[in-house]
Amino acid sequence: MEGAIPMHVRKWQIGAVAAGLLAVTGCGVPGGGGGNDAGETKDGDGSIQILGAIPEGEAVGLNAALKTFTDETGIKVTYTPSTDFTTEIRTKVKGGDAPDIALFPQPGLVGDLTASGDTLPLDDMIDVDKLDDSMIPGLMDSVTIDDKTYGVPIRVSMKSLVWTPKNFEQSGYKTPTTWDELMSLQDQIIAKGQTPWCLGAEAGADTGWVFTDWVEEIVLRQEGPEFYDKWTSHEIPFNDPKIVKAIETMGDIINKPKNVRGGADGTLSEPFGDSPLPLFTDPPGCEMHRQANFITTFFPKDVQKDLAGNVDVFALPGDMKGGYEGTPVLGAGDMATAFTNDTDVVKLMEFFAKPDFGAEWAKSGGWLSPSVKFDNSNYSDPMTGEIAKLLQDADTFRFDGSDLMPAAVGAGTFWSEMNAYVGGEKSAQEAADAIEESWRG
Amino acid sequence: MSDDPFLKIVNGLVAIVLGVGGTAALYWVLNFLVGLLPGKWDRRIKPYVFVGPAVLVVTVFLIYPAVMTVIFSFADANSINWVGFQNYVDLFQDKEFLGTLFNNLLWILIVPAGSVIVGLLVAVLADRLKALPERIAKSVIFMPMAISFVGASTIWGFVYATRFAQGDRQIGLLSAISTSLGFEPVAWLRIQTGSLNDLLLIIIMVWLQAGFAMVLLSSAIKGVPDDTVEAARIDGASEVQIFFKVVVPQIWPTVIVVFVTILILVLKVFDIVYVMTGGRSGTSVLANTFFVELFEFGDAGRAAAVVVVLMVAVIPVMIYQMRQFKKQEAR
Repeated sequence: MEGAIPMHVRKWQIGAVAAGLLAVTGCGVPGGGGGNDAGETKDGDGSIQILGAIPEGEAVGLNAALKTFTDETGIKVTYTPSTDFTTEIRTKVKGGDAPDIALFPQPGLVGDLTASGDTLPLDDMIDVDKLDDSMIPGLMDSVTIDDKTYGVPIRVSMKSLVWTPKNFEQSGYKTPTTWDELMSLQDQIIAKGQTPWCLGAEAGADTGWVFTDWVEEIVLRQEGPEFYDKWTSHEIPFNDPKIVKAIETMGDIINKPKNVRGGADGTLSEPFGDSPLPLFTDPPGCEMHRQANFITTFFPKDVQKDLAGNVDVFALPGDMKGGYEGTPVLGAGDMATAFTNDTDVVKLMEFFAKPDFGAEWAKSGGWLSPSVKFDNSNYSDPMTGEIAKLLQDADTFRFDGSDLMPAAVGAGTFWSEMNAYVGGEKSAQEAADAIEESWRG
Repeated sequence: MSDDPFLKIVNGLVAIVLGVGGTAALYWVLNFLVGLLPGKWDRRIKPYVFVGPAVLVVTVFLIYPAVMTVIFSFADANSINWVGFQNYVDLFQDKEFLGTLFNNLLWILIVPAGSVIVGLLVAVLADRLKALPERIAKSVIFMPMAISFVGASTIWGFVYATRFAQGDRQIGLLSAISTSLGFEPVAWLRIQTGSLNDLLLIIIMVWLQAGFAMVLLSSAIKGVPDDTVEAARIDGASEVQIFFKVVVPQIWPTVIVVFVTILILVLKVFDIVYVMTGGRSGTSVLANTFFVELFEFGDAGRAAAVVVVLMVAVIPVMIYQMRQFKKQEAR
C-alpha cells in the first residue's frame, strides 16, 4: 500500500521536471543587407499600416489624430499595437512583412534596423531640416545616423522632473535653477528639520532603474551630452573615472545623513510607486521627489483630481559647476520610422512632422509633444502644460541611457550593480568594473 | 479576446472536452483500424499503436527541445554563429554564476531534508493524537501546499518587509519583532552574511513542501503493521528505538521517494527567488539565471548553457530515482 501514492507522484513529476527544464528555444534571425536608400516615391494605394508599442488604451489619442489625417487626405490608416514590439518588428522586417511605418519606443532599435539596411532615410521623403528646427534640441540626434534622418518623434516623456508639495515656496524654499542651488537647498531643508528627498527604487525584478536614472541625470550634467552619447554607445568603458565619479555623486546624495527618507536601506526597500506619497502627508514626509511625468498616476486619487492645485514641479536643474552649461533633459519617446516609400507614407510623415501634430492626443492625456512650437493650451490638464513648458525650455534632450545599452547591461547589471552600490555591498569602482565586465560584444 | 469570466469558463470546458474526447477518439479510431488487420498483425501492431502517440509527444516536446538546447548552448546570443565552449567558459568564470551554483547546492542540501524532517515529525506526532485534532493539525500543515509559489512569496514578502523611515510603523512581522526588541531595522533579504538571505528564502520552500512530505509519510506510517511495533514493545524497546529501528526502516522507501521528489522540485526552484529578490544580493539560482539570460538579456546561447548545467545536475538524481522505482516494482 505504501507504494501506491509515490508511484503515481513519480510519473507526473518526471514529465513535469523535464518539461520545465527543457522549455528553451532560441530562434535565430539571419542578418539583412543593402544600403539605406529610400529610392523613388511610389504611388500610394490609399492605406497605411502602422505597428507600434503604444498599447491600445493609450492609443486613443493617437487614433484620434490619425482620424484627422484620414479625414483630410482620404488615406486609411490602421494602427496595430504590439505587446512584444521589439521581437515583432524584427520578425516582421526580417520576414519581408514590415509595416509601412513603425513607432519605435526607443531609438536603439531604429539604429539596429538601420545598420541592417531595413529602415528608409526620411531625407528623400520629407523636409528634415524643418524637423530639426521644430523639435526639442537633441531629440533628432538619436535618429540621425550617418547624417541621414530615420525617424519623426511623435511623443515624448520627461524624466528630469522634481515634484514638491504645493506649499513648497511658501515654506521659504526657492526653486533651484542650478545644480549647486539644488545641493544647498538640501542643506536648507535639513536645517529646518525636514527631509529633502523621497526616493524609492524597489520594483520587484526591475529594482534599480530609479538609481540608473539618477546616474544618467548626473552624467548628463557633470560631463555633458557628447560624453553621455559615448558612454551609452560604449565608446568609452563603463568604468571610466568620470562614470565612477557620477555614481559617487549619486551616492553622496543618498548617503548624506538625513537627506533621503529612510536612508540608503529605505531607498532599496521602498516601492517606487509608493515613494512620492510622503509629499502629500501633513506635514510632508519629504520635500522633493525626482521622477518622470508618469508618476502622477501613482499619486493619491484626490491629488490626481487637481494636480496643478496639489503639487508643484520643476525641472531637475543643470549648470553643474565645471559640467554642462544649460539644463539637459532625460526622457523617452516614440519615433515614427518608414519601411515603405510611397505618397501615402510621405503625407503621413509630413503630418507627424507638423509642430501642431497631436492636438487631439493632448486632449486625451498621457502625451507630451516633441515639438517646441506646440501650443501648450491644447493640453487638457494644466500640469501637463507646465511639464511641456519645462521640456520646451530644455537645452538638450537625451534618451534614457539604460534603454540604449544592451539589455544585459541596461536592464541587468547596471540595475543590479547600482543596487549593490547603494546597499553598501560594493564601491562605485567595483560596481562600474562589474558592469564593464558584463558588457558583451 | 474576451475578459468575460463566463466565456473563459466555457472556453476551458470546451478545451477539456475536446482534449480528452479527442484523445479518446484518436485511440478508439486507431484501435478500430488495427482491429481490421488479420489477427496475427493485429496483436503485433497494437502495442505500438497505443504507445506511439505518447512516444511522439515526448519526442516532440521533450527530446527535441533538449537536443536543441544542447546545440544552442554552443552558439551565440542569437543562435547564429558557433562559439564553441565560450558560453560555458564565460559562465564558470563569472563569480556570480559560481555563487548561483552554491545557492542551488544550499537549496538542495536544506529543502528536501528539512521538509522530510518536519513532515516526519508532524506525521509521527499527529499519529498519536485523537482523530479530529490529528485531522486539524494535518490540514494546517498541508494547507500551504494549496498556495502557489508566487502567492507564498507574496505572503512571506510581508514577513520580511522592513520600513526604514523614522516614524514609519513596521509592516513586516520579522522587523516588527526585531525593532520592538530594540534592534535597528534591517533589510533581511540583503543580509549575505552566512547566506542568511538564502536561508530566509529556503524556509519558504520548506514551509510549502512539509505538508506534502507529511501526507505521504503519514500514510506510510499508518501502513506499518501494528504487530511489528507491538513485538518491539514486548521486547522492551524504547519509543525512540521503535521509531528509528522499526518504523523508519519500514517507511524508508517512501522517505526516499519524498526526498527525491522534493529534490527535483528544488533543482528547478525559480518563482520564490524571482518574486522575493529577483536574484539580487547573491540569491540567484540556476533557473532564475536562465530566465534572466533568455528573457531579459536575450542571450539564448548563455541561457541554454545554464539549462544544460541544470540538466546535467538533474540527470544523476533522475537515474537514482528510476532505479529506486524499478527496485520497488520488483518487490
